Amino acid sequence: MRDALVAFSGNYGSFGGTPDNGIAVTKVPVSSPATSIAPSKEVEACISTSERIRLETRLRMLQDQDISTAKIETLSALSESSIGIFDKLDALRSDARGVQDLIQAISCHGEYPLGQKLALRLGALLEAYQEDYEGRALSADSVRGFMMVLSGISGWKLPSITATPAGELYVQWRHGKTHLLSLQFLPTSEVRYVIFQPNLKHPERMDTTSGLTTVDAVIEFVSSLRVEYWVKE
Amino acid sequence: MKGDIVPDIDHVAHLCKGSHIDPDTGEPTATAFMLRPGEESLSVNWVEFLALSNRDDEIKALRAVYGSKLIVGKTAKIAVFNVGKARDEVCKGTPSRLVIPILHDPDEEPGKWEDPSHSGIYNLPRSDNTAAELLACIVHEVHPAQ
Repeated sequence: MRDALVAFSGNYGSFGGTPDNGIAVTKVPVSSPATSIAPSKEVEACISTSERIRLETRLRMLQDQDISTAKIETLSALSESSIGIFDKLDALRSDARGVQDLIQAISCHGEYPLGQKLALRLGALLEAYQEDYEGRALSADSVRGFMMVLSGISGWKLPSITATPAGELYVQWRHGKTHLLSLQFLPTSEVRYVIFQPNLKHPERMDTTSGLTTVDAVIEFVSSLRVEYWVKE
Repeated sequence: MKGDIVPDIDHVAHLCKGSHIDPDTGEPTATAFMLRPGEESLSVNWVEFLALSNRDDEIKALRAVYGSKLIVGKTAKIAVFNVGKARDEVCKGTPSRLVIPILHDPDEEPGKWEDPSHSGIYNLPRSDNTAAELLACIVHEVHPAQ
């Protein structure tokens, strides 16, 4: 069955996964030997265990040359499942392409001098996130939100960037072990922030500030909280 | 036993995915300690419950458990921290003096894998990242997860 799925996924490009292409689906070489094309993680992720078992059973019937009814059922099942799988695959690829386009735009951002370095970080993060979360892409809306603040942080140090479990960008600046600014770019054009820094009058005591604001106000807002002197180059 | 309070002197380990690790420092960031959609608690493992004699063996045992139940990426890390310090720092450092129970919650998929030291950190808020930041700050050991 795995071989069949391999062959099946290898033929994706030939029939496009549209709902009405039953004729093309019948060309899928379900009994052909395995090709060298490995199933992608996205494909693996999109096929549920129960779906695999169902298709495996039907394919075994086929392999046993069990009359044409089995063949018709199998191809029908493959057709149905392929529509869902490849729609999902298309969506995943489309999401990733959208984020890659945004990252490309960051690399040549006119008002942010560290754009290329930042784009490299984001590219690596997108890859890591896809590996961790079954091919899902980072949130494009979150990346767009981050892009909105780039001109405001043009003199700041290059931040470290990781992803939240939901795929939002989590951007951080640190200064030693005592100063921290974290911004989580939500897909709703809002930013959740956390600031740790020593108390002005009692430096041994750590002040924490956290909250939620809008993406167009966040840099002005956090700058008013004394972060600029340590986040700048 | 399920629901037991993990003692303050003990330690828990948390599997951190690669996309939650700061590539500059190799250390987990707050994103590693955020709940995923639908999660009630943050999954951790009660290290002392494994009853092994040293940290190397404990980490090996945890790698085996993670490898059996999850897909562990090559850049994933295992973060270890003290239970009492986690509870104390989060309580002191959050505006609402947040109490985060850390409870034993053994997990298994019969015939496939067993995770008897599995535990959970409860009451972590989704709407504020201060607790996640504080947990990231008190991690005192980081080990490769593979």
